Amino acid sequence: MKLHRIQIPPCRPYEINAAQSWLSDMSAAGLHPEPDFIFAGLAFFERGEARRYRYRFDIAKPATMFDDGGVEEEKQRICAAAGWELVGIWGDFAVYRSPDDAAEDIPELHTDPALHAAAYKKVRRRALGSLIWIVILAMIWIKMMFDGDALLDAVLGVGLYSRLLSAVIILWALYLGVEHVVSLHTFCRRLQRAARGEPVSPSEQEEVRTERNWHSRAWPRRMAFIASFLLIGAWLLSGFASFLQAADEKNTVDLPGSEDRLPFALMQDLYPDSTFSYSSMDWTNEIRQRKDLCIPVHLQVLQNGTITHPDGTSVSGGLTVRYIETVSEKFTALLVRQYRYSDEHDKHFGGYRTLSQELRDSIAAVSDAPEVYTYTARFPTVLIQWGKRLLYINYYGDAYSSPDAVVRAMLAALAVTKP
Amino acid sequence: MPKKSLGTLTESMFYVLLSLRGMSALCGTEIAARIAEIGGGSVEIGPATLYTVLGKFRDAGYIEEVDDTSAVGRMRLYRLTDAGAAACEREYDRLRRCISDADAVFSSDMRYAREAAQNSDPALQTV
Repeated sequence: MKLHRIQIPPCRPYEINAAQSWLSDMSAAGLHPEPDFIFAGLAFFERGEARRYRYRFDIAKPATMFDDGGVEEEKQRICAAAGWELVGIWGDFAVYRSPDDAAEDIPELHTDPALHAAAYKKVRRRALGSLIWIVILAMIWIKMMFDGDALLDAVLGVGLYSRLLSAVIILWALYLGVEHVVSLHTFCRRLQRAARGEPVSPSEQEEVRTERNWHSRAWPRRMAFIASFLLIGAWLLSGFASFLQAADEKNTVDLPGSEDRLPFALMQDLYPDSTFSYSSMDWTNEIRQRKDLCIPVHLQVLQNGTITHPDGTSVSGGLTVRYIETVSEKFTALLVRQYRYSDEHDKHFGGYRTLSQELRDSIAAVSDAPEVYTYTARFPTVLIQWGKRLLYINYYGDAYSSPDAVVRAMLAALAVTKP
Repeated sequence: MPKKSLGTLTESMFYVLLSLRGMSALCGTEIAARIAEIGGGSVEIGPATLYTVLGKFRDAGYIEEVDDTSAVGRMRLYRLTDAGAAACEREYDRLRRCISDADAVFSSDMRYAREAAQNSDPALQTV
């Protein structure tokens, strides 16, 4: 099989036995790592004479704001003088090599297991620190998405898929973090046992043999690497696509003349015996529609106008309606919970106040919906869930001081709502 | 500034101190060569281990770097300090006590083994 000069590593750098074995096999096949051979997760090789080398990993200094990290010059000199050439840096490690055929004359890079294990303390602490940060991030994400209104915010605004994909990215980072910590812990445990003079058990010998066999994990590791890139690409694209969809004017149509397309009542339905006229304001009287895989129907209707009663009195105001149909009842229930959270915690004029239980029961009876909430947040609000669908309606305008009256009118209108 | 004591030294650490004892100043390569010479070829120290030990001893005040611009290849030179010499002697005394104790145990083991052999074989018993 032809070996390529640019390869996806078949193992992670903290899988030390596998990594050392892989590099050794590559050199034996005539592919030698270039100086600083790892870039963007890929390994770069140059073709040369096939020669077997011993590759060994040592802890490198981490890069900081003031320091590029790497390996101190004095250490490189001492190692070079002893026959160990620094190849490059991979992750937390400096990679050295020496010719295998000179193994008798060149001592191992590390000859003191106790000191070798102690040197890993800082790396293990760093790996554990990173894992703790990822766990904290995951907990914050969960709290935000399920306890607050972050998911609702993403559904109503932009970025639903990028937020869902960020969950996958966090889970993947969590898995890698755990694997990193466990791998280093296993390696150090072996060094500590060697430092105590304990013999290597047959099971441990078998473990090391398995780890050195990098071929067995090459395919899954490489697929995981490609999947990571695709995942991050999808995450970036999903955020961009959401903005495009939100800005797409083709998704917005004028409301006058399109009322019949809507599966719910509007202002003109609140008082069937009265007449309704649309206002001429620019930002209202339109239907905005979106759809995607998780939310096949998402309508936002902004209506503003005047209802003139037969006795000549009139009511001016508007309705803001959100009609959302998702792919799952649980998802819709979560959105309902987040709507209520958002309205309860929003600081606004008037405060949050639930409307009467009688109203709620009446709406529930008419709408035949299991979940109905009525309250005044900024405006009188009705929030209803039917299985996978939800309806969220505010009314604003005249009769604002009598939210009950408005909601009673909505109640009557809901009798003609076509869920 | 008080330095943290390193406690019991590992074999590698002890040999590094031994190699610097009685010498003016040595670079890393010379230390490794001297260790091989002292150990008769049976003790060797890897370069990464040597660098780690030198770092620990420098932090503990057991060795100090010598400022020598004529140093070969600009490698750093290291010299044993009084604290390092004292640590070397402490470790030597500890190891000598261990060997002395072990000698006593092994000697008495051998005596018991001889007596047991004599008791079990009448031909070996003295009249």
